[in-house]
Amino acid sequence: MAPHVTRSPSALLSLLLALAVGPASRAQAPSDTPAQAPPVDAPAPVPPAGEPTAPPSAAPDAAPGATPDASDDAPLPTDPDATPPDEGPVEADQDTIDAAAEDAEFDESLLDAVLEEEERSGGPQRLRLGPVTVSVRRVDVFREGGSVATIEEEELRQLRTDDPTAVLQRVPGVYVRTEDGYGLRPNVGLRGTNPDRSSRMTLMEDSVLFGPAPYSAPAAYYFPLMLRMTGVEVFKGPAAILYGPATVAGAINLRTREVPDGSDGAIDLGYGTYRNRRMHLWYGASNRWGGFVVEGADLATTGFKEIDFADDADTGFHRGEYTLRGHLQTDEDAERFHRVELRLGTSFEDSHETYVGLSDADFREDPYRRYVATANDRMRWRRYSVALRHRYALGRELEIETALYRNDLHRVWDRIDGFANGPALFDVLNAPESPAMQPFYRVLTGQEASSYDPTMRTDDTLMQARNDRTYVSQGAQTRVVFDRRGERANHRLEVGVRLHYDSIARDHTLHGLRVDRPLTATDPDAVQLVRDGFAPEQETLNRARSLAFAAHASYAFERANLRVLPGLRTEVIRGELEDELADTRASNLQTVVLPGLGLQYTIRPWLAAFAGVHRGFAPVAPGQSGDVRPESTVSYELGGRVQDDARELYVELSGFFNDYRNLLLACGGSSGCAAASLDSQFNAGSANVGGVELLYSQRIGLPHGWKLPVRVAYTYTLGRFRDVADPGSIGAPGYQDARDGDELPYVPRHQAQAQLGLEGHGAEVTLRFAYVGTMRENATADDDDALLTDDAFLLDAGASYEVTRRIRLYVRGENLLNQQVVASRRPFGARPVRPLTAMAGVQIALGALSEPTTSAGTTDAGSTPEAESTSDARPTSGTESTSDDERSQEAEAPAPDSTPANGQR
Amino acid sequence: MKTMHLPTRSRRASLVLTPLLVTGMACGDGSTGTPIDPIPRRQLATDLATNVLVPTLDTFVQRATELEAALAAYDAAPTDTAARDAARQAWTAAIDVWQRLEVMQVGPAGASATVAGGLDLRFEIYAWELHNSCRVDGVLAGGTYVDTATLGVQPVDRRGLATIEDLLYYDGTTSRCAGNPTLLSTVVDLGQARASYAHVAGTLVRERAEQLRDAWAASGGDFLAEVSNAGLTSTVYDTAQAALNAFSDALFYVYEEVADFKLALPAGIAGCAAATCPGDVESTFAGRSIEHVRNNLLAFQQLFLGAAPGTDANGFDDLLVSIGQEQLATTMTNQIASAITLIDAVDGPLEQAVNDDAADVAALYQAIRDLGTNLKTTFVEVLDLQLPSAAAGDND
Repeated sequence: MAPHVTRSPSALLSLLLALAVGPASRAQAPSDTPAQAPPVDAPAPVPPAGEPTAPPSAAPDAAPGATPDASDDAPLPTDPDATPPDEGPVEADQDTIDAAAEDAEFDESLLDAVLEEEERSGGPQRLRLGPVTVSVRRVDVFREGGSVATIEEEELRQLRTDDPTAVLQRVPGVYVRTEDGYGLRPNVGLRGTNPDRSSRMTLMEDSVLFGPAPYSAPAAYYFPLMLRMTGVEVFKGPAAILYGPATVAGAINLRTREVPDGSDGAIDLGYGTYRNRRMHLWYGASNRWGGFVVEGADLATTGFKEIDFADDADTGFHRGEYTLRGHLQTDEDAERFHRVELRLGTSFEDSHETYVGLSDADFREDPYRRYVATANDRMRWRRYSVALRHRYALGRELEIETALYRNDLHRVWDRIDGFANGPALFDVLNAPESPAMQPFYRVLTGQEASSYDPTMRTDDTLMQARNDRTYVSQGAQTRVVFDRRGERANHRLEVGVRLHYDSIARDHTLHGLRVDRPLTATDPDAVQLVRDGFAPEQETLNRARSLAFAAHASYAFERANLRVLPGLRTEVIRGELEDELADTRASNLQTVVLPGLGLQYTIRPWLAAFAGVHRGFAPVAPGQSGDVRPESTVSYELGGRVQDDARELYVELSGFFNDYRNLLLACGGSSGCAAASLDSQFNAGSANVGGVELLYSQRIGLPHGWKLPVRVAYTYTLGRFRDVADPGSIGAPGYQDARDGDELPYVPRHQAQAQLGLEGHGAEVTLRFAYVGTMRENATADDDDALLTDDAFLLDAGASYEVTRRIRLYVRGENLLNQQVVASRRPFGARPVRPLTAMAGVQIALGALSEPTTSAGTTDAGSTPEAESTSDARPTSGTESTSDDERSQEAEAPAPDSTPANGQR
Repeated sequence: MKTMHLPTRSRRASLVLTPLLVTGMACGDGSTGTPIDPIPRRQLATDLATNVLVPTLDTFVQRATELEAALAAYDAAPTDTAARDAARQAWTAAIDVWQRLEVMQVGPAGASATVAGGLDLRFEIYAWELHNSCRVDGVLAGGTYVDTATLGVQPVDRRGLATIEDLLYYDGTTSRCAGNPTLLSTVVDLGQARASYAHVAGTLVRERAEQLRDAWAASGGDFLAEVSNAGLTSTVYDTAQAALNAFSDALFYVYEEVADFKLALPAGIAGCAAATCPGDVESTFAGRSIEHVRNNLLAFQQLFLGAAPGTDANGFDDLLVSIGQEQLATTMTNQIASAITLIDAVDGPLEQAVNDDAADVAALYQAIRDLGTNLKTTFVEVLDLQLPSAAAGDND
């Protein structure tokens, strides 16, 4: 049996007091991912200034204070027998320590030796002394000033979901409005922001904006496959100003796979209900001069919905993402270090998705039905991405990372958008039996044919939009991090600049479709959609482009128990819209300065309090009328953290308040906007959004090597209009009748997630309960007047078992209670969550395995093929990660057959 | 359903919805923030309902009853031209009154989904914008008009006053379903079928009219009490201002539907892909489109003045005067009268006038737009009223 390692907070503190940590060596520094924020489960309380802390080695593209993790890189290749660093972290203060004992009781003398070596070498390094591997890194100081959460790869693996909704909802304060049930295009909101198409979030992949055109068209119609991700970071509070363009609530950064040390890889194959297939393959190799990793992820399903009169029609999707990443680098031991990295990627989607849901009555009868009118709806897109990065480190105090990037996305969405001359689909499905709507409802559902007139398009002709959009997003960004540690105080300065250009070319046409059905048809199969024979209408033909310069600076000063973390961001944005139909050209210039301040005070070694304030901003899209103003907030947060490593306990409680000076709303297709008003923006006035976030996480040890991880996240949010700008004039769906005091739509007052697991002996079982309270779908003051989504209570479960050292079998089930709830009625009609689904699969490790050593027959997660396959993908290493799984590894010495993080032996 | 050449669907949608978007959800109250007027707003709303709406409704019920009787007689003698003419006259009498009620879609007449207290009854009685002659022919061919239970569950695009007009005035044997022009060939006695269909449709109109009247009556739904107790015990109107706003919203029918769709569309001023669109007039079969506009304006005038001209009653004009807006009251009163006068200048049925007397049609349209502009801006502003959503989104 693996020995259990117990470390009390006081022991950890003593340990850290003994540390004399210098800047990270370049060997550890390079990382193309942002440094690890405190994980969801356990950001560390802060040590007093002056206490030895690991030096910064932040990747230039990381957040200020981000420190490329020592464990980001593998154990030194000179020691093939090194034990992997993927055991759980021991976090104390801002430093994290990852210690893994292979087959022995934890020996502090060994650690002392490490510390001595650390001092001697002048920096935190991953050292190997016998069976112990220790790495030390510093957790980002700026981020510690605010609420930051990370979800590590092991957590993602344990979730075994391909839906970003389930992942992101683990973070208190994040709301996701589902749309298709699969999370193809999640609507993500944070701390009360409008979740529509995640347009108020700054979305990044490896610190590069991944939205199709974040400035010109912020609606995120592309969201990467979670299958490919190795970590998720969510920045809230003042840390948000480090990322733009939207700083209102926060930012999300998705981390992708790093080049492994040595050779490593994995295959994941799964198959489930609704012909849901899952394929994931990655393989990489490296030596000290360079390396590569190639990865492919492919998901497909025939869908869980059925189209009327076309039972066999496909309502699912097929998505694929493929990347190739490689780098060359100089000698890691040299004073000056360079690494050049190139990443190429391509993605595609072919989905039979629609914006049309169901009437409430139809939903209650069969939530997975689709009307015949949607039979031809289909989204197709392809995306190409390229990023070239250069990392440079000089000594231990200076690091620079520069990235050039370009993303191209072309999409065509054929979807029913409404009637030629009729009420909006939302209104039809909201009151389908009302006299005004019934004629249209009957056509939409195929109960009746569309009217036909050979000379003109009839009112009840269905109009299918073909929204063809071509996006370009490209730019260059650089971050410079300077870090100096003093005897009495520490200083850290980060400066970043970005020059970004993006554009969107819209070519939207409307085609007439008639529901063709003989008046006296008794054969249901006679119903079909046919083109009405008239020329399509050119609805939109324009091109918007934005050129944006952004710069930020952050300075972290720490002394005694206090950290002061001021930051500043500025954006200068020039937007332009060229409308070919109207033959007009409009441009606008926006300049904004966004200050922020974070404070953190360590009350006790296990207890810290933090507070922050920052100014939030979201730019106006090009082409809006002159009176449309950017979204502007002043956001506050206050909270505290408790961490007890001995009990593997972490609790964070925080409150936030966003003072919206102007709420900027967009009339988007995803919210049900009429084609004529598509992409218009509106000032909605001022609003207050406040709430409380709670995170509790504990890992309970059980006899015989079992672990019982428990995790609870809860968010309470209440947002109300304070002073609606020009009531009745807001053109965004759901806000037309907004009045002072009305509650904001699509922000659940209550949201909770609880997770309970059982791990040990190569097996793991996880239950996840997710609750999302009812949400308003229109701005109203009273529930009686509100259109409300249903309370959603979903239960997911997953289990896996290590069959051999290379093979792990898994099963997962989602929505096990088969809850059928209205998740949303936008854009047009009630939309369901995914029904009960199940999948079984196998994960096969490709990397070289270490020779098994004798143990008491106990394995832990770290020894599984799964862990093998993911270990080297921890760009900042498990040393700073405090996911449940990792802490399990920490607390429980690794099994003898544990695989090194880098795949080397 | 009519076929129209409208360039944008949003405007057409507003035609369907605007009468329904009488939310009446004003945020003020006579006791909480709204200026204290010499004429209490609750009282004004009550007066408008009592003096204008309910009497007009009573009249319509009477006309609907007479129409049903005339249609019954026609049903009994479908080949009797006199019976058909009597039915046409009865229809004209009924529709003339209903056109006034078109501008009074407050409470039960409005759409249940969007109007406070709405019961969808307006659409049950008259949904001209949804009328679909092909659907009417489908009902004829399918014989699904035999009784009110059968016809009453069918969509409103094939019943109501617009359908009765169709049945009384169109006697062709060619189906209006372009894809199936011989649809009516299976009907054995088309004249009888049309008369019977019209009779059943007339019965439904009468029933719905009575239902609407009863909804306002103290012996029925007593919606009048909802108005008179607005802000007190009303479960529909939280404030007195909300009740008055419901009447204000109803006035916007003239601004949106009359100006833009009853005039601008067929005249080719807006929304018509061709030079003119005479086929898109409201009264396609009976040729009474311009009279419908007249009745709409007369109703507007009654609501604004509180009664027909020359009768002293509380109206919006009195409220304006009481708060020092005499000039606006006078201006709008004159604009209404001017617009009504301009109707007389239009020569012939509207479907002809849009081509032969386009200048007068355009002048009428402009007069109504000018009136509507005052309604949309100064009127609602000085009275602290809310715009109906459709009007608010119209940026002209």
